[in-house]
Amino acid sequence: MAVAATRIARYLGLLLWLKALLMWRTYRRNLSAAVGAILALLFLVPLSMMIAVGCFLGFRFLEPPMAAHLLRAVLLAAYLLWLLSPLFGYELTEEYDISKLFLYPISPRLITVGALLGSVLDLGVLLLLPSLLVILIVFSGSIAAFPVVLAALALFLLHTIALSQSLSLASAGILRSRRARDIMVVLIPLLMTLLYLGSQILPYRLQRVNWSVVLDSRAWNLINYLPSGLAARAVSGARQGDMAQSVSFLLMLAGITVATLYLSSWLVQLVYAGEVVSAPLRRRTASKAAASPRSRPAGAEAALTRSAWSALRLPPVIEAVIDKEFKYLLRDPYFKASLMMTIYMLAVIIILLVNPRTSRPEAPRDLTQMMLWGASWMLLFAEAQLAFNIFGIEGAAATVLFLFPSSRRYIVIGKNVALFVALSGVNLVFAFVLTALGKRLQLLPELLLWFVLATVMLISCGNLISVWFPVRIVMRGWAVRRHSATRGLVHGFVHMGVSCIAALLSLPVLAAVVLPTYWLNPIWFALTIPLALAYLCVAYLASLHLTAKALPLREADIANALRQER
Amino acid sequence: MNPMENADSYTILAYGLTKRFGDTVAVDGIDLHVQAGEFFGFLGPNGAGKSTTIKMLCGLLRPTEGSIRIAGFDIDGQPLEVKRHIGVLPEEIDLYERLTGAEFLVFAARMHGLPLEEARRRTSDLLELMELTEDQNRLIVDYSMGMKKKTAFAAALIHHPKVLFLDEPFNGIDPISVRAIRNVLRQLTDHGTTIFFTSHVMEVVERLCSRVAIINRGQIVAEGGLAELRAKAAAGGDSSLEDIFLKLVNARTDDEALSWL
Repeated sequence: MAVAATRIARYLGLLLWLKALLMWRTYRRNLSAAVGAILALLFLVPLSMMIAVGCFLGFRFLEPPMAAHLLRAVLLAAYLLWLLSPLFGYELTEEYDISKLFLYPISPRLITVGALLGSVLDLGVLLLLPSLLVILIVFSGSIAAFPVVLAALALFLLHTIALSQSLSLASAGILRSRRARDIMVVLIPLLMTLLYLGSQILPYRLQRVNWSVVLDSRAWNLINYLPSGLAARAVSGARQGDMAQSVSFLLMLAGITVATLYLSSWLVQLVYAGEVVSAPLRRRTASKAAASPRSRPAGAEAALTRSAWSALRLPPVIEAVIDKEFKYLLRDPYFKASLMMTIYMLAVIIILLVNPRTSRPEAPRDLTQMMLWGASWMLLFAEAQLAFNIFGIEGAAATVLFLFPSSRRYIVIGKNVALFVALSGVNLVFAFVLTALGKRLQLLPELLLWFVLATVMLISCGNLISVWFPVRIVMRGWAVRRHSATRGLVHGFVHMGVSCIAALLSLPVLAAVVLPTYWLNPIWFALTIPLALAYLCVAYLASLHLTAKALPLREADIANALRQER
Repeated sequence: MNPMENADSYTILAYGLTKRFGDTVAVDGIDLHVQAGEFFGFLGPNGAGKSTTIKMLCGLLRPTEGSIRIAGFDIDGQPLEVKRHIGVLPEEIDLYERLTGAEFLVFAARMHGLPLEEARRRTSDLLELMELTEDQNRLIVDYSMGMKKKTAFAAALIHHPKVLFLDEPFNGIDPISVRAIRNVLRQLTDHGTTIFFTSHVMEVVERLCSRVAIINRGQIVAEGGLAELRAKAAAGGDSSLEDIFLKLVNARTDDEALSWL
């Protein structure tokens, strides 16, 4: 018995050590991850402390019924946030992949317990601890209440972690599938955008809500029969001295916690036995595809269906590169992630535009117009990350690209054309939404013209920086990580510097659009636009010449930089 | 003799090839000369410098010193001409994973300047040869490692290169495809294609290669046909390539090691 206990303790110690070491190594090997974690801690620790202080003040000074509702709300928020965390931070669970432990003579139950104990090291638990400590202090009014409150909080934490673990395991197949990750790339930033919009709009609405009706509602009561509510009821009961009620809720919570632990252990055993816990979104089967009346033609046929570009009779290499780039635009999560950034930005600008102070009819006419032009600069700046890293998306496949004997000039042109068309589509939507919301639709042609011309300048500058400062793009879960081939800070400065140069070089183009719009007769467009086009032609051809000349000399370095392990 | 002086008779020619990474010398002044139609095996233990050499020969890595001519073209001066004549299957397979297998092969063919119809025909043939026809519409990101390798191999062949660089081509490929690929490689050498081949499977090298070079710690320790290597290693007449290889790279044969096993 003692030997078995020692062995279990040794294994658990080993699992904890493994977890701690993997976390440490993740940050040690990746400086940007470490800096990000430190910055997050600098932000999150004070936030966690502030929430704890807020909780303390609320629990201490609100009337007991309101304090009880606040407790339920706090625990419910923590509960829901925790359960959603596998969705948001899936890469963390991949780092400590328990299926790798199945090789060793450790039982699935022990693996489950080790994983649960290991969760104590997770940032989520550490940040939750101050608030839980406050609950323990405020609600343990008597010696009898203390063990009940402690037990309720411990069971709540254990249940939440075990359920999160179970959800994580149950959805592992889906969350790790390529399609699910592609969907997350769009879905999560979209959720964040909605959250942002909600946070801007809701405070006005929430002021008008009759909270006493909400708190007395049947829905709120039912929600609080979730485990978080049971814990809250047990804690509140202990504070009020109603130990019978408190213990009964505690027992219910304990029952649910034990069931959750069994569920988690059962799921681990399923994975252990090689069962598919949750089938990944796999390819359509051949039979299904064949049965579909709209099934695509055979691959080689489909792949060779002449594209729209064929009509332009472009050189085959340019056509092939454009085709490839467009397929990537549609399929690669990086482009989707970048696009979501622009949507997020659009949401921010929309909030500014519909702000009562700027959207009032009597608001200065110039203010909205300045905001529109300013927003166009912001969008172009966001798009620079794509234009300034045309090889980044190739990743390790850059080796394949550079092995082709094709003209480097054609490769660059193909990439540029695809990017120009894609960005122009985004710009068109952006310009339309902005001018419509700003009630300045008459500015749409001028704004579009500016976008088209500025995009050419952006791409011209981007070609050069792409050759000399390639950045490796890595998708981690739904987020984009950029690993510069040079030192991070140097690259940041260079990127900023080239952005400034691109902005300066774009000023004559801006003048060509803005001067006839605001200060000269529009007839001047007949002169300024051809001049701007000539200027851009020279800029683009110079950039193309220099890029095509430098590329063969830089290919080995670019390929090496884009495939570097971190 | 400086082989560069008689460059025309060789398809692959490297002289004084050196690659340094900081203080580490990965490849240390090696000379290589491979004639047209030769099936040339390039062997060495892990970390000996095989992949680094292949990368330099393909123009994917700049040598610290030395010169390279492939198919009569200087890799420094005419890199695109060299790439026009070579097909490469690297050790680490990095493809455009968001293209389907068929799309990637067509893309590769078009990048080599093949007409559209010809690209289609060759893609179909190669997909069939590699037993990938059923999976041609799946994205490469969803392929298994073996399928990716077969796709990369097909892409290396699609433009009918004069020189093929194959780095561990049979790793992770099923026996049926191995046999099909082996037959294709034989046909290619019969038609004058030069193959530069690395593998850890000595039986395959012994069966396929007409000449072999063994690299160890960045230096060529032996080069020639099987008989020449036997002589160099002072090995017996019936010794296999594996015996010769182990002897030439001074592999440890310590029977006392791991006595606890």
